Amino acid sequence: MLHQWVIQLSQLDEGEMAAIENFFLANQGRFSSFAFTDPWDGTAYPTCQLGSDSAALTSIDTMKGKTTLTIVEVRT
Amino acid sequence: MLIYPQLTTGALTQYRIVKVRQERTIQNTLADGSVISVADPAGAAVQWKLQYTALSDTERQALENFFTAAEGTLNGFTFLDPSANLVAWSETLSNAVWNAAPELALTGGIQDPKSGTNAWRLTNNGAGGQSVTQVLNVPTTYTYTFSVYLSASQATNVRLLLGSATASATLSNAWSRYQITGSGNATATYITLGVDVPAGAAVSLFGPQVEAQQTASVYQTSTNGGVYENARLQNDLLTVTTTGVNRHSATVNILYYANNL
Repeated sequence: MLHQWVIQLSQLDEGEMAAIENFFLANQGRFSSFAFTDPWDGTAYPTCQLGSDSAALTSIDTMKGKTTLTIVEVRT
Repeated sequence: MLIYPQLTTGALTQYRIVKVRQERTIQNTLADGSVISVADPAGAAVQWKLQYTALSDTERQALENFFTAAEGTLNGFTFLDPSANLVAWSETLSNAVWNAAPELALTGGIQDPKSGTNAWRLTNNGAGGQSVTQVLNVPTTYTYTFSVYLSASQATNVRLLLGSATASATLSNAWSRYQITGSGNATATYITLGVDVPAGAAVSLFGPQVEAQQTASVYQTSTNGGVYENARLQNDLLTVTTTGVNRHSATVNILYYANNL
């Protein structure tokens, strides 16, 4: 069984938004894989990818950013 | 090259700002179901959706003049990402985008104020001031704020450099964020930012950031920086709605391709 997580983030400050953007760039969208720890039960999944080659980052106001990321577990 | 206009406040745009990062991954599914993936950096793109409200007549005119000069989607222009640190490789002073004076030794991996180890120690082994700088190809008449975290084991006076402006800062052994606001030389085509370390001194530096606005915002780690040359408008139509006397609203879509179409 493979897993997928949809992570909705809001109230992000500019530094957190930049960190997410840099993570997306470092992974070249859905190309690279990374380890992800399931926030529900703490299980680490060693091979996951972003679910999309696109990332939308919205700045609503100062220190009020939001974005949604999809992470998928992939077969090794 | 054309330059995307600033508002009269010195800000680049207003909230809300939507930024979309696009990468391209090419995938080939083989007969046995396995997938081969290849990253295609040339397919990368960035889009911005800028929403303006309560623009003055002057700001509306500047936007319309810019749209006319760009001829809609036809001509490229320089765009400064309003949601980014304009400095490139803010935590990698060893990158070629940074210029360190010959007698200034740079040591990475130093404890930083964000509980990481991404700060740098700058040790001046020379007999005069030595600086580490970066050149940004940005419009020099805009207002910029350069901010940086600095500390030193003993009281040290350093100079912050930003275009034609300089500011002195007296450092202590605790991290503090220092900033300088200014513009460049009107006849130049770039702005230089950096820190000048006095002879014999050693200082720690973290998080250099430049933004095209009057004051610094939260530090943002950068890699590519936020200066986009040859960005383009995404539409051949600019719709401006007048909502009152001296009050206008508009939405502008901007697109930048990694391969600079």
